[in-house]
Amino acid sequence: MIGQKRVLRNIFSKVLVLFAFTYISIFIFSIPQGYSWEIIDGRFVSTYPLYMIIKRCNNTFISLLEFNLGYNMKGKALVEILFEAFKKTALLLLSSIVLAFVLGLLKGISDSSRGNKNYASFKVLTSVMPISMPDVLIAAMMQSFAIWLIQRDIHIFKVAGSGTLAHSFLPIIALSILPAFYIARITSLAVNDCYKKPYVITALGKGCSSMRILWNHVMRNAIKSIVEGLPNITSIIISNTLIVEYMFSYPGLTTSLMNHITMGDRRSSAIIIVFIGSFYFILNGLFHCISKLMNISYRREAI
Amino acid sequence: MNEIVKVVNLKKYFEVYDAKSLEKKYVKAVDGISFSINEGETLGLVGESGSGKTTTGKLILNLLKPTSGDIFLEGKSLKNLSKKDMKKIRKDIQVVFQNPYAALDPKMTIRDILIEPLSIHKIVSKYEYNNEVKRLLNMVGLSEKDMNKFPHEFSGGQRQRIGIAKAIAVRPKFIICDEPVSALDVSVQSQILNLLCDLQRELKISYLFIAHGLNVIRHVSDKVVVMYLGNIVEYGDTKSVFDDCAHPYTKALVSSAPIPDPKRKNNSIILKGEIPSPINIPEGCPFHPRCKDAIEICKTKKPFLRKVTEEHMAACHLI
Repeated sequence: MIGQKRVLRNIFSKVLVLFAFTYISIFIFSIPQGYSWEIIDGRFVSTYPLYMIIKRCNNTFISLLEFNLGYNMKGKALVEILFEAFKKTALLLLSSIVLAFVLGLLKGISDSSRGNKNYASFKVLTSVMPISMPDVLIAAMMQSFAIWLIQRDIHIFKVAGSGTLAHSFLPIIALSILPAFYIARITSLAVNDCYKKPYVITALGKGCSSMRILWNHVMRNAIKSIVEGLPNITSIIISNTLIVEYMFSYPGLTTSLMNHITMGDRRSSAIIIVFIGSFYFILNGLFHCISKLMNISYRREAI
Repeated sequence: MNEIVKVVNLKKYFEVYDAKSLEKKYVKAVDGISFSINEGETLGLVGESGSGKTTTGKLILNLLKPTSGDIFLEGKSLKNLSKKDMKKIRKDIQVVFQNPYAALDPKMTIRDILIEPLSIHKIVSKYEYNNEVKRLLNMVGLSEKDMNKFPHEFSGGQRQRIGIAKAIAVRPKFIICDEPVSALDVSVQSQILNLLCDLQRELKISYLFIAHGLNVIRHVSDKVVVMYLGNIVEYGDTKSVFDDCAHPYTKALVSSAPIPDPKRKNNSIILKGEIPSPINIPEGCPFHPRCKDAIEICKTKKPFLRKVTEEHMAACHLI
């Protein structure tokens, strides 16, 4: 009962934050272009009345709650635009999260000392360096690499654009590198921590093979810490989507957002931002749920 | 009696880098120890923290590689064994750890914990796993209903019983008990010690019993080894080591053990100073800076184990 109340309170607070975020985003985009204010004769004078901004904001907010997204400046239905862009961004994000998780786990396991401290500092360095690299540089390097391959008649990757699955390969890789190394660091630390535990030494004493120890004892316990780190990569991965989609001319949600901002369509821009934000909240919530589920036995013990 | 384990001149030095002097130094955790354990016998290993007791246990388990020396199990050297041979040997040597809260994998049920060694060493066919788990749990005084529970659902004493069940699952000849009762309260301690003794009688297992508490060692051991800074300072059968201790360090240890008799005068010998760093072991007898009876030779010459009686040896120049 106490647990259920806590979960409900948690969900309620998250939904409240989402609503606040939505309203603030719409409010910012409801302020017309060229809006300014000054104080004349001790009176606050603005180029556009504040109540009109609030009214505009409320109208957009209510239409969003009614799922009536309307049309953009070019007369295209926003639902269709969002749906098309969302499909592409979802493919990009989910694929890169899966790739980051797999690569991160493998790199993390290889980085962990597992009782052997040889090259430990070098391995850590190879994980820390990519984390400190700017995303723009990673994307540019990916593109240069694709161009280099194409010059040698190897057409695995497409440098930019969309249309085929091959077009999404490079953006997926570029987007997954940073979170992969982040996961690698968490994995490496968690694995090293588990290797010091007496139950691992007991397992060694029992005659377990090193693979059995790694998967049956170490990873089973380390995965909890790794999953707990996943909500943090949501923000990394979503903020990087903007750069990656822009650099690879990938027609996802953030490219659509950029196009609408350039067009000066502030209402549509606000709705797309809210959509991206909601996606972030859902993804983050999902990771939190997985993390909580992994930890369920410990919580039961604590209660 | 058959000799199960024989340790010959075993040494383990850990390399450390001294950032001040930019020199490589060595922590002499175990510095040339020798002893043997017979079938169905318990050897108590006692000493202060940092004296090398646990390292000795890990060396015998082959979890650490010795710097030099050799360990024999039933006459077979454990040196340079292939992985396959070592796996076979592991069946015969098991360990019970000090902390029952950390020695069991928290993500595994008791059934899985007990089945794992059975499957690795193919002790029984997989159709008999459940019956074997029930048998093991009954042997250590737990109910078979507990087999699907997780370790956190048990008390400390129950967890240690599970640890013992896990150790005896592979029907070992030799178990290293690394302070198995020091994390438990006194009433549970006696239950665990009695359980270990009962199992020894029933299964003819030999124990290397590592402990701080002299009373525990006295209760369970047939022979005792007293260690100080990686060296054996006294070795012999329990009665003579405790009743007629020859080494000043053992005398101090025995005298400091509390005796529940208010009328008895407290004659405990208080050792001066701290145990020296195992990086800079004093020249000569390692105990001489703390020994009240030290003479000139103690500062220059390291004493070797000398016979006190037929079954009792001590490393002291004063004998």
